[in-house]
Amino acid sequence: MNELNNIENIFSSANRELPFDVPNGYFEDLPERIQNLCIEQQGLGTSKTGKASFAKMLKTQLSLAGGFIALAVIASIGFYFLRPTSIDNTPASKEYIQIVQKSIYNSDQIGSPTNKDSLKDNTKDEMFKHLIDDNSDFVTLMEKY
Amino acid sequence: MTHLSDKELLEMFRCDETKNYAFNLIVRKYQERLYWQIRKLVIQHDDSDDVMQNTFIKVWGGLDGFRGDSQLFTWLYRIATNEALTFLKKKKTKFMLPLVDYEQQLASTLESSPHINGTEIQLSLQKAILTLPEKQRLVFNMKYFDELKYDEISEILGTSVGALKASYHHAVKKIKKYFEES
Repeated sequence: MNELNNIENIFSSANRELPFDVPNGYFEDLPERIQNLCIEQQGLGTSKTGKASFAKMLKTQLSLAGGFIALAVIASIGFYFLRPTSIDNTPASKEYIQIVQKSIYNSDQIGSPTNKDSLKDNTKDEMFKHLIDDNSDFVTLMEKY
Repeated sequence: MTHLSDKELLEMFRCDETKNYAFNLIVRKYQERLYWQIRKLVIQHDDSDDVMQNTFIKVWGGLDGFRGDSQLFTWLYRIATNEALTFLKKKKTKFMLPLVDYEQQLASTLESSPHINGTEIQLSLQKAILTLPEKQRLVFNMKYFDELKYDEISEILGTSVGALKASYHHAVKKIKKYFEES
């Protein structure tokens, strides 16, 4: 540690050496290894470029097709939910139809009585009233009824 | 080690028949200098080996475009330095650590990692260098260990000579302080 205390000694020429070493034969093998790696990379780079452009083209085409399919699916779903239905079976509309039918039936009952006897009575009374108002002959009236 | 000049090697590299051979010779010529430059930055041998491979793959891909405006050595040195710094940044990102923490981690591995040996003072100097900011560390390594001229360092790092001198001066001061305090 005394050595460290001498600051000037730190920068002496002896310390210009690095405290590192390399595995045996490293620099002998390195040029060959690098050469092979560069050639390999060059080959990979070429094929990668070709593959990359094909993949890019395929990706574009698939994206386009996917877009169309998605649009078709959305349109089908939309049509299914929004289409006009011929028979509406919802409870509210059933109830509405029943109310309308009932109203029509009631109004028919008011205008034209379905009971035959009451129809007869009503008609007779009306006819009598008509003949009396019209000063019809009583005989004729008797003959008729 | 080849005795061919850089110019001759580059001419050979540009010729298809001798391209691979020339590249092999370039690797042989500069591998050790580049390795030690990388090793000083990333410390571990395995990491240095990875960075060496990446460096030479870049060199292989870019050597055709090398116009010779600078020396081949400074061009290679610049690639190796950038690759080493990129490697350190990736490590920092991977471990979600600020760079200084990763370098502290490197300092702690100096005594236990394989292929690291040397005197106590050499190891302490490496630990002190790991406390420096990135630029000062680069400049100190190039000036002190590789004994490069400021002009060459300027060409490699793209920094002015004045700024490099200041960086080196600060680096030396910090290292001295580190030893004084320890």
